[in-house]
Amino acid sequence: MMVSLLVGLPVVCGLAAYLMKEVGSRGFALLVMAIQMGIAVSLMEGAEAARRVHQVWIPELGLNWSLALDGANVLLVLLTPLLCFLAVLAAPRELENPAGLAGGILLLNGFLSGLFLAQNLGLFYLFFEAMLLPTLMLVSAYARKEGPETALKFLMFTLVGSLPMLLGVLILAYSPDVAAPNLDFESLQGKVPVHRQIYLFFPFLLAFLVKMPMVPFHGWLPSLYRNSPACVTVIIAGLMSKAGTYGLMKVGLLVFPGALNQLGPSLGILAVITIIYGALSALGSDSLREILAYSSLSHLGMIAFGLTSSTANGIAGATLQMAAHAVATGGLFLVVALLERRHMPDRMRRFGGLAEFMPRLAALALFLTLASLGQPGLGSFPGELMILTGTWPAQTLLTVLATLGIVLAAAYLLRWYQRVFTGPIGTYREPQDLDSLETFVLLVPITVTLLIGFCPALFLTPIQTWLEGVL
Amino acid sequence: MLLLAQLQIPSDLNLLGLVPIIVLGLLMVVSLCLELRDEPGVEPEGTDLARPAVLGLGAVTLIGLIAYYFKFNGDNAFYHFNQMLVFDRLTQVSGLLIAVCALLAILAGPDELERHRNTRGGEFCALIFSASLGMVMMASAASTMVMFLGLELFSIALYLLCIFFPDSSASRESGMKYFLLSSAASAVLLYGFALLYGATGSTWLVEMSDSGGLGGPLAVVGTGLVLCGLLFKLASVPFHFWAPDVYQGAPTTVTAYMSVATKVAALAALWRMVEYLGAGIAGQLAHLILFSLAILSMLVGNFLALSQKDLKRMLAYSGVANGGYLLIAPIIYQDMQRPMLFFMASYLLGNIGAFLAVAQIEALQSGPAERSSVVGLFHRQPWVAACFAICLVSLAGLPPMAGFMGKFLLFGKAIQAGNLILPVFGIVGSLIGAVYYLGTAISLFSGSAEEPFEGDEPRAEDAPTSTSHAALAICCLGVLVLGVVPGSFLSWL
Repeated sequence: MMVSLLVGLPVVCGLAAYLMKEVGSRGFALLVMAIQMGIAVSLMEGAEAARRVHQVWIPELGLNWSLALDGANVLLVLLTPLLCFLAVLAAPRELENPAGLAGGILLLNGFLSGLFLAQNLGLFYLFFEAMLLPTLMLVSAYARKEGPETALKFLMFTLVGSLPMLLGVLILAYSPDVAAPNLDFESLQGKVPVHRQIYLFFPFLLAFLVKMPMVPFHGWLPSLYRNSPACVTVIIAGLMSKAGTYGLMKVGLLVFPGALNQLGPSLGILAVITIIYGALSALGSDSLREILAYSSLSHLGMIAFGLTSSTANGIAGATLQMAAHAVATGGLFLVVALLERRHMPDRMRRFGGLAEFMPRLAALALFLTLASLGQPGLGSFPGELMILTGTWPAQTLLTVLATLGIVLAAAYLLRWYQRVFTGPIGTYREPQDLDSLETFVLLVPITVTLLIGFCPALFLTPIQTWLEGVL
Repeated sequence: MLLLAQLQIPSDLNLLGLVPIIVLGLLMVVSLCLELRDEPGVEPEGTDLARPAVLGLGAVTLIGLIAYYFKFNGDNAFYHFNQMLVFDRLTQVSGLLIAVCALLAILAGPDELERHRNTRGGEFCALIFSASLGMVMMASAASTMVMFLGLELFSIALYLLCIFFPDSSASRESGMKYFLLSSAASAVLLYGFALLYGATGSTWLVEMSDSGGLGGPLAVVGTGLVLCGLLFKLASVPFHFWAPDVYQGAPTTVTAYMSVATKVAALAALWRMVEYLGAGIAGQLAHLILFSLAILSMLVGNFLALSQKDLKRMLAYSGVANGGYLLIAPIIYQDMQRPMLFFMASYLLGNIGAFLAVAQIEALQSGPAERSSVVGLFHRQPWVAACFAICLVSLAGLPPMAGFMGKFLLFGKAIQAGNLILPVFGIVGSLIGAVYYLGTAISLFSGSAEEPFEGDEPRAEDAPTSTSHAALAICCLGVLVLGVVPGSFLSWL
């Protein structure tokens, strides 16, 4: 029952937050997410039985309210309220309609938690689609510019991916040879014959590749990341992109293991193309947000590379990397959100020498930049290392090319940092440095990335236990 | 006296089955009488109690009717009234849906009449009841004669409802267009019935199917003509040309009512035709026609809706597309009745909700509602915008709204029956549909409150009253409830 609260609480409170007037909605959202985090932590410590819930919902459709906290999703479930919490803290101070922002983020948080927790394919699909709605609302209403156009473009890409997935879900549930539809992952596991897996997997794959995104399905990425308010981008880049990778892992491993095995090598090529393409695009861009967007694309390619390697090391590393990437990229976008609070420009050529005015921000941002580019001792290092060791034996050439992505990451991220924080002073009014609350906002992801970097085993054990049960 | 003696009371008279028809008929007469009490042209003195009386009476009776439909068990189908009528699950749910449409229409209608300085509220309600009576008859008809009688009864009432604001040229055009085209369609339908009678020697559906006369050319032509007549009411491609013009010009509440209620009645009749004419060459022909028209409706309706600027026209084309989804049910037939009715219920709530929201938007900006004029509505009218967005999302078929469950069930059952083509086209159609539904929903939230609103300020007395708010709220809550906990309704169906 407690697990349901992780979804129900933010969704109900999100709707309630819409009804609130200006005052208090932000504090309310923060309180709800703090409670949610508390519940998640207590569930981790608590009894095994409390971590799952299974309730028949609509038997005719094979839809069950089946949620569980397991090794695969525990990190993401913990990070979801955490990142959303920080996003609300980093939101612009003066907003026309703060209740809408708080409500939207709460709803998005609830649907994302549901997505990660779902143990029923129908429920998974439901959350996968439902989280679009608050995202569209947030982007459309709070965008820096071109809100509706950006939202519509994003919507089109996502729906082209996800509506075929609906067809896939329906065929899985209702194919004439199924007596009673049941979409629970448990009952689908090992049920789909290998020859059907390939063509049934395609609609799912398409949805996940668009959501991540992977080249060539990334058309929506630059405009969305550039135009959305940075506090929303924190969630989109940090968590929503994980809906794609997590889905690929969960649905791929549980329902279509044969297809994932067979398609693995070709998907690996696509992933490496994404890594290189993202890195080169980031090198060539002059927009503060676009560089981070392409950097995120490149890193997600690395995660996908690990997931499609069909090796325990690769998949475990990719799962760990999902969390590390959420923190690192989310953290970098939090930096952007804090700059947005100060009405800073987006073009890098107008930046420079920010460290003189904002030494605190400069120091913390350096930490997050290093975390993102895979500095040993910080979050991304163990995951990327494991992915590469996992893929090395079977796909040596691809692994070498993927490593190039890490080298390039150092180049574009350090260039990003250098242009913004050092060098000659750019064209902006002297900004205020971070206050203590804003420092806290950035210290949280740094703490998490340090934790992952120094004690990866702590996080890897549940993942590996889960994987052993699946593989 | 002689005439009275000739009147025979049907031996299988079943009052329980007749209750809805009697109640709706009485309601129509009573509301007309309450209206007639005033002399024309003379302002009534003091407070006018007639309108609240009609409204209250109508609402209470309709709620009673809805409860009756819920309570009555239609599991055991039976024929009654000289076997002219049939009472089964389809009759029951169709009647329920029609009653809900009527209830929503009379709740939201008076506001719109008020806005047009139209004082004939009783007449409006009487016409809605009359139309509902015809629809209920059509949905429960076991004979082609009763089917046609019901069709004409509701069509005539709808002509009058479309032209209810004779001062507005759009309304006149709408009523006239609907009258001309619909009476032509009725004639075609009647001709088809006549041919079927010629082929089978009966007007009673059961006898027609037993007669063995359904294989000949006469029956094939007759079936084709009947389908044309019914598909006209469903606004399927290629019989959809009237829909956007009529929907745009008619009073918005009337559009809301007729866009769904006629579909319920026509679909029930179509279902029965397929049920009884299913076998033989006529049935195969019907299957082929319906199959191609369903796909065409899904694609054409959605594509044409994309480019519409006026919201009512957009919703009209969306109705064409939804008619296409609904046709999936009679095409496959086996096991499809419950998904069809569930989808119909979700469409009812989403579509009427959207039209009622449009009506409120029209009231608030005193002018036609266009896609460009609702940009940023959320900042001016958060409640209306939120309700409108919920209904649009449901029409687009995204969770957690009723429309999602409806499509999930309809397409899923079609796949279960071994038919993959129709669901694939349905999903392609939904994808196109999502662009305009969600594109409109997105634009509701964009912009900022600072931007000045261009357009006339609405008059204070034109602001929607609590009854129309209630109607809109019923739709939105229904959409959410059917979307989140569809189980109990589904198991009742």
